[in-house]
This record gives sequence, structure tokens and C-alpha cells, in this order.
Amino acid sequence: MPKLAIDVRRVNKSFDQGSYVVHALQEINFKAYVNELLMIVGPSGCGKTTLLSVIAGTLRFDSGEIDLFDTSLHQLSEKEITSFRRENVGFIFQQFHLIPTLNCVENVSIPLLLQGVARKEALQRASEMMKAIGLEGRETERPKNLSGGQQQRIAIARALVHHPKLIICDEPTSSLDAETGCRVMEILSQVAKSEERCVIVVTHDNRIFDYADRTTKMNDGKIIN
Amino acid sequence: MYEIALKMLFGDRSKYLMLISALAFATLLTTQQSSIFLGLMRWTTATLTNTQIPIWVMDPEVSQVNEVKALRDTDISRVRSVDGVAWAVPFYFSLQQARLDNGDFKTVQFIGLDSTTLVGAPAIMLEGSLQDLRQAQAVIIDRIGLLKLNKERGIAITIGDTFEINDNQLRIVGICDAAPSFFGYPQIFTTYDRALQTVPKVRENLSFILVQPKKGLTNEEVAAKITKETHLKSLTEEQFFWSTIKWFFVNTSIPISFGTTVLLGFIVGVAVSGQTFYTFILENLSNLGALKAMGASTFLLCRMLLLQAFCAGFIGYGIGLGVAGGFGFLTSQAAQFPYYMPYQIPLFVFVLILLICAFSAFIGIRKISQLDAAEVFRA
Repeated sequence: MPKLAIDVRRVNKSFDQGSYVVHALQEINFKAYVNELLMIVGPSGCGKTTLLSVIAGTLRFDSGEIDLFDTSLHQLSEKEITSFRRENVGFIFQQFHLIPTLNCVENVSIPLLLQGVARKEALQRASEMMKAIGLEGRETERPKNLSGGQQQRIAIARALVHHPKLIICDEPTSSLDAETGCRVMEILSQVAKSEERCVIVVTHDNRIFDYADRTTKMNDGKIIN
Repeated sequence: MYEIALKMLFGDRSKYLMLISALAFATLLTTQQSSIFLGLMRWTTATLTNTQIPIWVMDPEVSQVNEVKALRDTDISRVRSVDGVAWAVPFYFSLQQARLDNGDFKTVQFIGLDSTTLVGAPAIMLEGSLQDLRQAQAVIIDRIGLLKLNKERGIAITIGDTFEINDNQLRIVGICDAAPSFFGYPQIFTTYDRALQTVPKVRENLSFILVQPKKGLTNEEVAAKITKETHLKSLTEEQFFWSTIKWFFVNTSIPISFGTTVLLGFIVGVAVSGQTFYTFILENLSNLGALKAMGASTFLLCRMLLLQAFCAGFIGYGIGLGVAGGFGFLTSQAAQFPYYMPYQIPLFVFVLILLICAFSAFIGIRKISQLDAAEVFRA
């Protein structure tokens, strides 16, 4: 029996839009396991990103319970959630969100610096992570000088450098061409298996569906399989 | 993370330069204008600065040192009779037309010092001796006044040269260093008696009475006593200084004019740096959101923002102050220019710049505290 990484139970989230209320998540239940790459797919506006934000702890939910690696997210204060994210969650964004004025190794070192690791050590570990991900020699380059695929690999290195248990990927391939997207997904597949870790990918890019260990479909704020 | 914050600031070259320029400009404008204002105000009290006398006695209607309503000659004896007065000497002060030897006329500030003691003479003699004033027709001229007369005449005036006031020939026997007067006229020093012999005859001539209190008594005590017993106005040097400054504040538009410029400098600093910093935050909002998602607390982001704002402030302040100081130095070397920058001005401007930085940071902090980490997932 694989070890449980994420347990989401009866989670609801609504957004008050003034004259009406949008029920973005309705009675969501799902589980994800360690060493699993789980894809959440569905049409635009179905609630994928909201669910991802809720799991990542960047968005409070209205009701329900979420356990992430034996930590009950719903019982944590705002400060504790921030600290939890810092220690246990790695993020890969659609637009990479690399800071353009920092070089690659500095960008990769950010999660370590946020944890309070000394700058020298953080840069050393970031450099090693870049090497592991095949970006050796690019340490001092600015992100703008790299291709989209390389930038996303830098973002992956940044997501992995502090060895988080949960990797959250928001449309990681939608800014990339098919070949580069597949290469990125291969890396993420390896990442999911490499440590006691779970990778959640939100996407509507059907070119990469095959890389999922399991796929969960969403529609109108509900999980439909 | 603070190094990251600084790299984010310095890396955005155009905004960084704009921010620094705005803050440097605000510093330069406020420092320079405040210094010129203080310089002008100091000029208004040049006679006090040059004379260095603890108590001034004058007509009750006089409110500032450049204004003269002459006293009767007998008033000096009345002042001397007041208990607590160590000595009292006459002081003459008026504006006169000097006729240079090339026929040109020039307005000068004509000052007559007590003939016996020469009390109230400028402290620094550049050429000649103060005692030379005892020679016939002798006058001493201030350095800046000499430069002005040289410019008028086209030939350098030196010791031994003569000019006329009221058809009386006067001879320059010395050159002194004196604080420039507010009206910018050359200052001619002579003895009280010679001054009266030179200028057109009027019934009352005594401009001021200069008083030294006896040892053990304060200036304020003796000044109050003189006023009480003689019904003349008697002020300590400090009181007369502030009375003069107050007069210029109330009766001229100088403070409003300079105050407006200083205010404009401050407003421009606030507007440009606030706007630039706000744009900087807006453009980095998605990256700041990413940092927040990755576990940066709002408090940490605010501290990073404060560091960026105040770092830009310090650099801008340094540049602005350097340029203002350089301007003051060069103008004081090259020409007669009212520029006085005591340490209070940089301190005052520093506080202004801190306020501008705090305002700029506040705008950013407000934006960041409202920033939802989940925003980063919304493309």
C-alpha cells in the first residue's frame, strides 16, 4: 500500500463576487500518494488552480480538511502555513517567475535563503542542483538569456533545491513547445520518484497527459472521476 | 534575502536611476534653497556678526539692525548712568553715496566706531591695522566691498586710494574681512567722530549705543534695566538677532519664496520617488507573489521593501547633499553669495528624505500586504 501524501476531504471554497457567489470547489475529495505524479486536468475555469492553491496552502478554504504528509493544513495558523510551505512545498509556475535581475544560481537559491541558510552555502547547494538538472555552466546567466525550456528547468531546480515533499506545478508546459514540454515532464517524472515526494501538476495540455501516474478530472468545481 | 532585495533594486537600472535622481534632486533643491535662505538671513544680521557686542540700545521704534532712527547724543550718558553698565559707546550706521576718483557714485554702508576704543570693529584685518583708523581721513573697507568697487572702477583699489563722501575725502588704510551686508553694499568703517564730520549734518546722529554689562550680571538683566530706566529699547545681541530675522520674515516675501521652493522640492521628491517605487512594486508584484508562495512572510517582504526604499534614499541623499555642498563651496569661492549650511540643514533634509522614503515604502507595503500568494497562479 503506497504511503498517503495528500488527503483532501470535503473541501469547499467560494468567492463572493458582490452580486453573486462562485462555488469554485464543491465537496472535493481526493488522495495523492508518495512518489506519484498526479495530474489535475479539466477545462479553464473548472477550479483546478483554486484546488492547487488550496493544497499548496496559499489560499484558505471555507470548509473541509486537508492533510499533507501527516500535517493537518486546516489546523495551522497563517504563520504556520507560511512556514510549512517554506519547508515542504516547491513551486513551478506557468510563467516561471524567475527574478530577472538575479542570475540563475541566485534564483535557484531563493528557497534556501528563505529557510535561513547562509548565502554561501545556499549558492553552493543551488549550483549543485543546477548541475543535477543539466544546467551546469549557466549559473551566472540572467534568466532572460535562456530559452523558455531552460528557464523552466531553472524553475524546477528552484522548486527542488530545498528537497520539498510536495511539488506544485501550475501549467508547467503551456509556455513551452512540445519537445521542450516533454523534456520538462520527464524531469518531473524522475523528481516524483527520486525522494519521498509527491508531484501535483495542474494542466490542460493534453500533450503531456501520458506522463501522469494518475489523472484526476475536474469540472464546475467538482472532481468527476 | 536582503541582498536579493538590493539586487532587485539595483538590477532594474532605469527605475533605480529615476528613484535616485528624484531623491537627489529633492535633496539638492531643499538643501540648496534652505542654505541660500539661511545665508540671506545671516546677511540681514551682518552688522551684529561684525560688531559682536552683548547689548544694543536703540530708539524704541527700531525693530531690526538695518533700520536706524537716531538717538540724541545725550542718551549715551543716560545709558552709562544705569547701574550694571560697564561701558557704553556710540555707533554710527548709515547709507551714503561714495564718489570714486573716476567720478562714479556708489552707495556704501558707512559705519562709525567709538573713536577712543574702536569697539565694534571687524575682528579680522586682511591688510593694514585697525589702529591706522586714527590717522586723518582714514577708513577701512571690507574685502567684498573692495571687490565690488574694483569692478565699478575697473582698476584695483588698494591701500592709500581715496574716494569722497559728501565732498569729504577719505583714504583707505586697511582691508578687513567682514560678513557681507544684506543689501550688498561695500562696508566702510571709520571712527564715530570722523563719520559725523563726513556725513551731511542732522540734528540727531547716534544710531545705536553699544553696551557691555558689568561682570556677574547677565546681558538680559542689564538690557531690561536699561529699558526700564531710560525708556530706550535695549536688546541683547541674541534678541536683536531674532528681532531682525522676525522683521524680515514678517515684512518680506523671502521666507515664502524659499519656503515654497523647499516645499516644491519635497513634493517633487514624494511624487516622483513614490510613483517610481510604486511602479517598481507593480512590475515586481508577480515575483513578490512567487516569493510569498514560496514561504516569504509579508513581514519579510515589507522589510525587503523598506531596505530598498531607504537604500535608494541614502544614495540619493548622499548625491544631492554632495552636489549642494559642492555648489556652496564653488559659489563661496567664486563670488559673494548667500550660502550658509550649518549641520541642521543636512539633518533637516535627511528627515525629509526619510519621510519621502517612508511614504514610498508605505505605498509598496500596502500593496504587498494586500497581495494574495494565490495570485501567482493566476496567469
